[in-house]
Amino acid sequence: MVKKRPNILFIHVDQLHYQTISAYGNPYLKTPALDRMVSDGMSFMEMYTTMPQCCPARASWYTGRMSTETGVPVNSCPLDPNLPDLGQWLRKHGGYDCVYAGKWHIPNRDLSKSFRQIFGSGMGEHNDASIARAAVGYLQNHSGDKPFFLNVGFMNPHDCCYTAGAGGGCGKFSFAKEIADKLPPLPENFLYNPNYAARTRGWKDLQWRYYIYSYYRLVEMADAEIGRLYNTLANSRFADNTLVIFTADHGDGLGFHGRVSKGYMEEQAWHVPAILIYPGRIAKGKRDTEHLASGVDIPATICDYAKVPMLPKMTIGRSLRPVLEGKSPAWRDFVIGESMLGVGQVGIRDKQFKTILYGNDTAKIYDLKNDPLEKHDLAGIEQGKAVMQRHMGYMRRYISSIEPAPVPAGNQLGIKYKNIYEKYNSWYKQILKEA
Amino acid sequence: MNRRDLLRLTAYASSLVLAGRLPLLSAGRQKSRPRRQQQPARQTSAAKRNIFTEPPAIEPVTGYLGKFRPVATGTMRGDFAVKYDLIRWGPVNNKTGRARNIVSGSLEIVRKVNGRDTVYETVEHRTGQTTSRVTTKLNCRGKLDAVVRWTAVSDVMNGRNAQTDLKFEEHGIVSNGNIVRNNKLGTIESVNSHTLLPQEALLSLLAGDIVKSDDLHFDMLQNGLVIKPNQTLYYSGQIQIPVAGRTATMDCYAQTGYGILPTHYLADEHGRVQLITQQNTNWALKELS
Repeated sequence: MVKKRPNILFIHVDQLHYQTISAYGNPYLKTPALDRMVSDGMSFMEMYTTMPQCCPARASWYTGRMSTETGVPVNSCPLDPNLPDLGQWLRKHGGYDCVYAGKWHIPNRDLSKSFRQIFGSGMGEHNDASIARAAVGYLQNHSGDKPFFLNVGFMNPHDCCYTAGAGGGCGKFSFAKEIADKLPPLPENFLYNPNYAARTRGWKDLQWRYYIYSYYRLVEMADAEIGRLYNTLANSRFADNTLVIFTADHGDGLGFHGRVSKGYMEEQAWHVPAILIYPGRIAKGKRDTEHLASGVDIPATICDYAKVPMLPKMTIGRSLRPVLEGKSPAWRDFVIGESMLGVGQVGIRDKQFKTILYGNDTAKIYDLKNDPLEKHDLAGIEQGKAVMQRHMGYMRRYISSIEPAPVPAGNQLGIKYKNIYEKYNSWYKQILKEA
Repeated sequence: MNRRDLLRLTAYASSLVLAGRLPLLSAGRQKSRPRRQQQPARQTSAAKRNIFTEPPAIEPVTGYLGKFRPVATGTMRGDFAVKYDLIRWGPVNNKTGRARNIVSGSLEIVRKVNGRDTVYETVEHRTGQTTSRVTTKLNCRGKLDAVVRWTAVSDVMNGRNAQTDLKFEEHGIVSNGNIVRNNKLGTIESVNSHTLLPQEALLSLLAGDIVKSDDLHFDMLQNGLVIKPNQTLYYSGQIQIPVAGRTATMDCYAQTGYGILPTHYLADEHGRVQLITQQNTNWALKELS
């Protein structure tokens, strides 16, 4: 007899720094909803997105492929139309009612053909409350035996990118003076570099601290809506048979290394939080630091629990289910993420060390166990050389495992985007050749 | 204009901006120093914190203010009905140097004093890729209008019609600091840390002098559906802002707390809250009766 398939609630937020859940020890914000989820489920403390930018990370969640495999290596590139997505897959193979509210942001894939779209997207302050309400409305009215796959994509804290300012000014940042006593300090690894982002040029400490303060409030804004949704579910008849997954597409600079935004491989952008809850099946309150997890593990885990075949050509993603259910599966030694912005970057992370390879033949190496804030670059020194050698071996294994999306024929995408496909294809070929 | 002239003009404009001598950007700054001298009676602890040197309270709506005409009649004390336009912020227009603001919804509030209860009935619409509507009825009590029970109904709109299979309805009761919310799916219980005030109640509070003399600490019920604890609302002094054809003097109140960006309430000399600014979502008074 086939067991009943669980309902699945996949909640994702946009641009959440991995250290911004108060249960994990951040004293500068309160996230009661996420804290409750942390205590109800299992946190993967070493979860990394496939590419720290919206479209590529989201394309990976929904197709199970790495960002250089989907056709979406950076924002705006089109998803390979031949790849099925989770909505189509769970509907076809699991009979799921596949529902979506909020931000999608996967180019070249009509959301309404893969899911029933119950609410659209928009800025977080304007839209996130409506998204949460549509989702709880769906839950309140869902009836029958058909399992649901409800996806809720909140925009916040991404509103940190939209600073309301006149004449290019800094919006409410001038309010910082009035609440200076409430502003959090700069991060320990703050190191301002005027070359990083145009919008931060000229910022003084007060502006940076206001940015961090307002970012925390945006995280709380998302937290309040997540609480609206999660508390409704957790107090409902669906609670015992619903797998809840929470994660983010990428992080935010939050002043770490003097940066804001995303698109690079330092921890603040690449590392993301992840919480999975399934009452009675997943241990409560556990924080896993042993298993290096990837954004493509999310769809693998969803397919596993939904009792449907894995999405096709899932080269890297692995179901987290054995780990979640207390087993000790053989696990990957390293996790890789890619960003094809600028000269191109690849992050290679093992249990202790991380290498960031750049497309211009430079690298940074960090000992994350002893230097979690990435303050001391080991590249060029003896310890770093051994790490580099090992990580290059991982990189070659990775390249041999994936199926990079080819350079599109013709010039339909324009030379700017075509160059991005050429960038990783030629770079990866070169790495294999040098071996 | 050649590039050199453009650069020269830009540098000149920038120096004016930095000196606070462009009309819009300097609106708060020019008036910030004489303000305390003009208002000696308002030297409360909150007013002492008023150190505006720029107008953060109006930055999200700079593109809208030029056509904003403050409502000049009516009161927000006792029974009243108001309508606000929801003003969304958009990236600054490089030509005007002001925000691109568009009207993206509305908020209607009716307040009725009924014996010892005050009843608020509100309807909020937000438009965008999808339109949502929230209808609430709040029964409040006491001098702060603390909420004691309420009903909230959320709808997703398809044109003018609500989608019945996305409707959400919830009823809440507050008793001795305990909050119990019931919906068809179950019951959610929580405890409030401060008096629970609906955001709507802030209008009549700001029309009085309560917040001018003392900071207000409260938990906030937003849209009848989300509770945001640990809020502080305080008087921040007077500012002058540019509105359609003139300059208006407003009392400025600032709210900070869990889950909100700093929010400013601008009330005229009769206590009418004319503008509420957050960041992307702001409110401008349209009607008051």
